[in-house]
Amino acid sequence: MAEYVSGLQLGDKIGNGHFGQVFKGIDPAHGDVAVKVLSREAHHDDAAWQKYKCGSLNEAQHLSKATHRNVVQVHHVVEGDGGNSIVICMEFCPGGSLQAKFDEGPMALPATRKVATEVLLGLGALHTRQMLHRDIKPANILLDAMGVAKLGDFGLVTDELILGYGSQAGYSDHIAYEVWHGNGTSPKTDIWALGMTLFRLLHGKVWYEEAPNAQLVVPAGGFVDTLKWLPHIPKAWRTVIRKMLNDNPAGRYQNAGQALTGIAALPIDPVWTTSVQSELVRWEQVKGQRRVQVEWERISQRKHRWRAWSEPLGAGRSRALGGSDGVVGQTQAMSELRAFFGA
Amino acid sequence: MTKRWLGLSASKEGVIYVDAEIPDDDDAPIVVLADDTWKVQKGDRAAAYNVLHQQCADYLRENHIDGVVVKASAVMGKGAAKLGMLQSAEVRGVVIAAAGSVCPVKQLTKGVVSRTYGERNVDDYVADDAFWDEQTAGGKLRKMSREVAMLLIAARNS
Repeated sequence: MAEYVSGLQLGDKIGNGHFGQVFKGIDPAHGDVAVKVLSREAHHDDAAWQKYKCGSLNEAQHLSKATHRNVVQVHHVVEGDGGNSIVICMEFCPGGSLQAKFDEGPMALPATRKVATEVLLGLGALHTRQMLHRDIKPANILLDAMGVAKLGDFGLVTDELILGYGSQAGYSDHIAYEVWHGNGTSPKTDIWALGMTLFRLLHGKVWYEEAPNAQLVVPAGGFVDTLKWLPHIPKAWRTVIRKMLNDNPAGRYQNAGQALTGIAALPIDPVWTTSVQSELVRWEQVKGQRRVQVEWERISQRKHRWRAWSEPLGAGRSRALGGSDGVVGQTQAMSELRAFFGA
Repeated sequence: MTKRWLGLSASKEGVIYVDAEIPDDDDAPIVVLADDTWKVQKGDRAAAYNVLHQQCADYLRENHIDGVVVKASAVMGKGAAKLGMLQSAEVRGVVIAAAGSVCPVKQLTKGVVSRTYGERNVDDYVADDAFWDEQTAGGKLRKMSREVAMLLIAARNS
């Protein structure tokens, strides 16, 4: 058969993952595309590379047939560099990944539920097709030009690789309890990883990283009981995420459809804009003609103080809405804030 | 050839669906593969209907459903329409549109089923445990889903 030359043109590098580099590209048929190049590494002997390459090619070719609104479309897959790399040409998502949103700070409830919904719709389709994602995390959820969330970068992690990959690629926080204990991945481990993703998105990087490393806590069991929640997160949200993160797979949502039912009833207001810094957590929302603000000073580990007030959008007086009685302990401050937020 | 059909019944809060295999042999029971509910998300209804539309269309497409039977709108009593009824009709419209984008859709009212199927009315059949033991196999139906499964049983006989 004649060899054909691809008109695919590689542009700037837009990402650097564990499995390879991602470039922006232009494809004659699809326009703007993302091009992932998986290259042979020094640790791949001939047999390992052949096995990895075949697995990746098969999976990617399988994915190229998996069209869904919430799954990044794989356009085509080819071998490059004389067989020493795999080139995956995919849909380009100009909104970037949710890693940037996670780094920025806590996401609001409506945006988080929208992400959860869209990811679950994509995940449901993959699971029905007997596929697993195995790598759900903020960095692998991409936003298209309309802001629709899509699952990307899947099919590359296998059960054989997951623990090794996890520790190298920072994915370990998303590995479910049973996988740490030698059981394979399943739709329920994808649900676990989504629960972790939602927890992270709701809290942002600064708050999340204040907690002990999940990869050290999860294998010991009882992870959900160690979670520290921002006080405005409603109880219903905590319940749903706790269920996704249950140590026992049978105690989780059993499939994406059940999880969708679980999140359908979640409240999405009031919409607080939240920022977290090591010494100060701030919330803000506009309610009618007034701006409501809450500040929680974390003076030290044991000394906390908070206050809430509203001020008019135009001229007028500010009104106190609540606050701690001077400096109080962390537990008391959090409990009072939860009561203030009605969470 | 055995067909795979989905029965749907909408309310303002969600849609009950019964997914079943319909054997060629009219005397063989239908095989229930799934009996569940899609919930309408809380909050903005436009966004919630968008999700429901995709959820319904995805289910039909991913599970290769051959046809859908929807419990049709019907006028109940003589009083003014309540908001809940109108919202149920909205939800029904959403799933009819979603289903219509994937496969053929048939609508049946409870009254039509009562007039055209068997000797009894729908409520009698719904309450009759022996009827369901005879007419269904596979997964167990929730009591509230029997009326939806009834749509499939009536449609296969029509």
